[in-house]
Amino acid sequence: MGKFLKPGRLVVMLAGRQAGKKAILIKANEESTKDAKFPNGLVVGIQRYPRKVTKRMGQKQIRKRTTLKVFIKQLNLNHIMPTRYRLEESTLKEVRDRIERVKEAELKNVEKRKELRKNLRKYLAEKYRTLPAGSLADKKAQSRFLFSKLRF
Amino acid sequence: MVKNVAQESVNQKLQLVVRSGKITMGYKQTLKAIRNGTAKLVFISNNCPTIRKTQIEYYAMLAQITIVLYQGNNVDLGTACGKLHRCSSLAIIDAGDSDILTQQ
Repeated sequence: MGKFLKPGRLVVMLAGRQAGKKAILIKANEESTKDAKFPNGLVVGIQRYPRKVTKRMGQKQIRKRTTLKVFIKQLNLNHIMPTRYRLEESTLKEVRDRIERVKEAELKNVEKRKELRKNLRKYLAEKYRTLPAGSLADKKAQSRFLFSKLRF
Repeated sequence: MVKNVAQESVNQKLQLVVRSGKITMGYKQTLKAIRNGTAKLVFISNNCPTIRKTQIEYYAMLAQITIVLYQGNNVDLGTACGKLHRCSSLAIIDAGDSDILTQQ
């Protein structure tokens, strides 16, 4: 009886080009909106995961390998698989702020979207680099789930 | 013997809910109901495909709803609701006059 599709929920994409990629649910509209006549949601997901890094690599190489590519998508909630992991409050707030700075109407604009993606990409990459060590059970490190590739 | 009795009472309760309350039948609608937060109790038939079953169970775990693994297949579950079609998963939205929510 609880609503669990709240902002910050980590989800896995089930359909489309980004199927199998992990994403953050930013907004979920259970009722249809004007241009999406189905229960829809806005997600920010990882299109290209950061690569593995070993101890032998230098700083420059590490920096290159820990970049990631981000996608923003509005999609049907049927095509999302929610997980029990959530993004921490601080990270979520930042991500949401950056998205909200771009107004809804502007989100359709390709240039603005690109900028927003770049923005989020930088932010999430930094978050990944400074992720605290810890297992997924630890509340602070749950975003570790987001940055690891789902292998299938 | 005990199981049979319990099963009959479940069927009776289900019938009452169908008559007086609100139910959604079918995989897509149950998932929608769980996602919405409107589902209060979920029934899954015993021949529901395992992936589907575990998916519904996971959703229900996230929403903190109880799941009843119905002791019968989808044909039986459909019949228990008084319908002429099969149903492998259903969600109870509103129990109406039944006490199915409090008992289970």
